[in-house]
Amino acid sequence: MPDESLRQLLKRADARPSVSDPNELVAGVRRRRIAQHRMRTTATVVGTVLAVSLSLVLTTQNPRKMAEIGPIEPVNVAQQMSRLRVDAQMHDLTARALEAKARARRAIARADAHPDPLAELQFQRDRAAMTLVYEANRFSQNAVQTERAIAQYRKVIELFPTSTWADVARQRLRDMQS
Amino acid sequence: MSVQSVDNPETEAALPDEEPDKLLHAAFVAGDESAFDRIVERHHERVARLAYRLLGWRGDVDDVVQDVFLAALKQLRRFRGESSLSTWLTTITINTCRTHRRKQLLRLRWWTARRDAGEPMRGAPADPFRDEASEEVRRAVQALPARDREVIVLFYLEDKPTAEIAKLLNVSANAVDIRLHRARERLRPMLTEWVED
Repeated sequence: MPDESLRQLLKRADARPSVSDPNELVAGVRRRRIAQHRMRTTATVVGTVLAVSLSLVLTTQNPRKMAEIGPIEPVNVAQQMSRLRVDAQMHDLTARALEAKARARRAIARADAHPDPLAELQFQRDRAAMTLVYEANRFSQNAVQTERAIAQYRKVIELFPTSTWADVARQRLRDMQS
Repeated sequence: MSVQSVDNPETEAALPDEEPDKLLHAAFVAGDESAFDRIVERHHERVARLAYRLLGWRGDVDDVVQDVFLAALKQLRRFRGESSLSTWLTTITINTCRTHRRKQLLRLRWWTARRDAGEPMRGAPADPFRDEASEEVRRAVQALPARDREVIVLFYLEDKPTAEIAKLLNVSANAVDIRLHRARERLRPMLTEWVED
């Protein structure tokens, strides 16, 4: 069955639905939404009422347990209050200690965020020297560019005489000359 | 992105197809409830047509279309714009049609389906041969399993490419090809009379 024939056949057979007015449609959608919302609210209320009724029924069916609890003695309340006060003080102290620790951690992080400028400068110099040595190495691998490599190594020694890369350059120059 | 620009028909006409949807969505998120009315106005015909096709040209699609836009209204604030609004609504329509079919099965309303199947089509063509052929084709598509019908509708009637169908149905492109092939194989014996080789 050719694909295009099937497409034509299906398109010819296609029918349009009766479409209602968009305003009516929107009104219907909003009505449904409100109805659904009401239904959900009703279900929640009914569920809560049922749960409360059930708990009431269960507690009234078993009055002995209620009687077992008995009245609360004033002495017990006072003891409990003092225990709660001690607990609250403990929590307060713990919170303060944690806050102080967090403050110290933030201060360390702030200090770490600003590195020593001299160390940073040294790092940048080392990186520049390394780049030059890397380039010189590339030149030295090409017989045509040997002179260029030697010049580059000398430049490293001249510009960064105290860096470790200057030592590397010196070693390479010795190797090339031997 | 102002709400006012959406209300200006000249501005809207000058924008590409997806732009007004983006503006309407932004307006809705900003609290303009009337933007939803405009979205419905722009898309309801397309949604109704797709739902009608997916349900096998049977029954009243108003309920399904209302369900589609109700779902859209609930989710519109969470729509992140990763696809176009039109594609998003197509996905909702497909899912709503699936739910609708499932509900029909659960309610055992087969008699309603049969009654609806017998309802005459609105705007039926005058040509008797064409009418008969169309009726036969629709019946053949209705007889397909829902999943096969979905790919047939999306590929041949909605003219969607395989990759897009795969995204809409959340399956691989390979699975779409397989479903298409299977659907064609199922349609073939029913439509040989009407298709020229």
